[in-house]
Amino acid sequence: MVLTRAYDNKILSLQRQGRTATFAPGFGEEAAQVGSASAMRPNDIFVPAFRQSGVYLTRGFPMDLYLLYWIGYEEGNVVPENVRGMPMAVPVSTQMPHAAGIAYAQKYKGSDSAVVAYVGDGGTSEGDFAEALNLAGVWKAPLVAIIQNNQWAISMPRKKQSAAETLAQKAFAAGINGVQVDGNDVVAVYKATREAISNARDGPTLIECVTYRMGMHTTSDDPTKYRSDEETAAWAKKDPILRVKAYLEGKGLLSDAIDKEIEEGNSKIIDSWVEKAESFKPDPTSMFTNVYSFMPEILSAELEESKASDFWQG
Amino acid sequence: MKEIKFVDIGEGITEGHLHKWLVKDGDTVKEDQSLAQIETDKAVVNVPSPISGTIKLLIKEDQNVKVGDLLAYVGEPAELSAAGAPQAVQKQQPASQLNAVAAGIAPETQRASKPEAAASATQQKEVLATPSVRKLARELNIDISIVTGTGPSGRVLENDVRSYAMKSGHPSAMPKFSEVTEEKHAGEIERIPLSQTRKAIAKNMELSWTIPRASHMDIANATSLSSMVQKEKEKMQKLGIKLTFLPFIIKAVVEALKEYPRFNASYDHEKGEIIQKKYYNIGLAAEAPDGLKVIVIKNADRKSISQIAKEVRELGDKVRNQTISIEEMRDSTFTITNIGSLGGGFLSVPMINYPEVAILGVHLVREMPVVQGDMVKVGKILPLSLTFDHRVVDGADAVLFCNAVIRYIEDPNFLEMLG
Repeated sequence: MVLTRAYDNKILSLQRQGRTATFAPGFGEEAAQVGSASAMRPNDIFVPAFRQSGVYLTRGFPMDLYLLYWIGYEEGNVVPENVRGMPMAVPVSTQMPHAAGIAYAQKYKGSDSAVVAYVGDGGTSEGDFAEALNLAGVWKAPLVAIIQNNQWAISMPRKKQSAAETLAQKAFAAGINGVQVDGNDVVAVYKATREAISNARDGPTLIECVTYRMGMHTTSDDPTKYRSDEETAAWAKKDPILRVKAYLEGKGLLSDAIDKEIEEGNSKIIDSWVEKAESFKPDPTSMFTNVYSFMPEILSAELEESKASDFWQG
Repeated sequence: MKEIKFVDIGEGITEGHLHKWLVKDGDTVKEDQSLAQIETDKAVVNVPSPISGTIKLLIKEDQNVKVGDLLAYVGEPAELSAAGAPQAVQKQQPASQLNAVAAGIAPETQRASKPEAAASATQQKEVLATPSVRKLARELNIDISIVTGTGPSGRVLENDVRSYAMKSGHPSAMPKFSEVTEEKHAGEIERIPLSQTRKAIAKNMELSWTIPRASHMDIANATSLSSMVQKEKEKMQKLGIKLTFLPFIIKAVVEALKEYPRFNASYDHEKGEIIQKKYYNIGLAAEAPDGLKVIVIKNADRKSISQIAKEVRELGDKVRNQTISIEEMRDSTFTITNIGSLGGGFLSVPMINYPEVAILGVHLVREMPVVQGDMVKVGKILPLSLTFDHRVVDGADAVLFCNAVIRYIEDPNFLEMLG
């Protein structure tokens, strides 16, 4: 959790220096992400939206690749063979029907794998969300749908998002299990997800993680324009990292010294990821090879020129 | 030492306002520490330091900055003093330019001197630009190396090329159609504007191509027709009429159209209705000096062979002399194209004269072996092709219609009646 936050902070800083493109940090939602992803078994499959750095990290996705995507290289969105997950889906809720389909495929193939899909509170208003839950319910597909209810869909507050008292109750219409959990309590999220995965053979579960987006929607957004400092301050007290630290300190498992040690170690790890991502040398070939069924002379000249150019190496 | 620039921190922003420095000149800062607050039309953002070191501020608070402007340096104190002021002054320029523009004063002197200065730097400078921007510059005949790039690292953007073109009074309109070969064969290619006639042909052919069509082909034995034409030719010549096969074919077609009226129609695709025509205006494709024209024999069903022959001749002359009127070329209900008269070919697939239902291609009459009973004789063979709108009629109709045309052409009694 602290590593994912530190990394989000680092990428935010890089973005402000012009070293990445638009970025969606997950500040405040670490428990919902890390808690749920930790509950997954090695053969389970994650289906992310685009604010899941904690999930990527927990599931063993190479985090230099994760940064590469935000730098703007699609190579960063290629999921390695050994990681069971899908690429990021930026269009809202479009990943949910995929998730339902992947889950059904597991059942069809007789695989024991469950699918853990992520969606925001805003995403629950999309037709895709309802369709996915409905089908998963009909098929009794092994789907665990996690709503990261961070109270804000860009500038749309939760209370305007839906008249439903909870988002978890959207499960009832689909005839599947619905659970609302304190999304800033990593243990609670872990437990809820674990249970949902163990029940996945009998059908899907919708888990609403009640959390808070402590930062901006993306780096193009300024939340101070639409929400009050009081609200942000009130949620800051429920910061999931503060809570898990207090818990561990209470158990005598964490001290300032250990905390500092972790922080320094993380900083080194992050530096290595940044260095690796920034040293990426893109191959311009695919820009040219997929345009025509044959390679026109002009494109082949440009391809040679672009390969020879130091632009790609810089 | 690192430069700290104002970058595009939103999605496509170009300028911002340096609201406040969060550090003082000469302060020691840490990597990722916030240095300044910049307000853009999207958000107020913190600008962090890329590395730890001493900061050297280059611009003042409360000032507009453009993307790419240098804000500060961070590094070792020694490096900073070495590389300090001159660059800072230079980099202030965009802001002053901005003010000048805002005040409505064009920076004339700068602009006038720019192309030369830049041109001399061309040899050393590698131009950064995407292929599409380079192409645009080539199309506008602009040397891209003299265009000042405003993109990242001085990359030349589409807008830079366009605004350069505007400033230098260049026609910035891009050709809508271009071929790759044009670049390769500059100087070996000539662009020829279409004549009015060719434009009209092109438009009609495009319309014609929208018709879902099929073609049917057959041959007629024109031996009887040929002898009839020979027989009548002399009579007609006395009347000053040059008789050909065509008036007979027109007559045969009109009779066939009466039997199969769906071929004398057009299709209203908006309403999904057939517009059935009860008059017989036969169009004839004619090659004029400036391209294809269709002359129209109006009410061909009510005209004699000699009248039709005379009219074909007169309209043909008008086409050749380019004195034909629009009225004489419109309102056809069915068209015949006489490919044979052009002097070659066996069979062709003609294009329908939009919006008609069908067109009949009449080909060169050749002497060919014809089997009659057990005998092979020399006959005069007239190949015919029919292209038809398959929405209105089917292949079976086409066969029936064509058979009727052939029947009339081959029927000595019918021909006798006409003669």
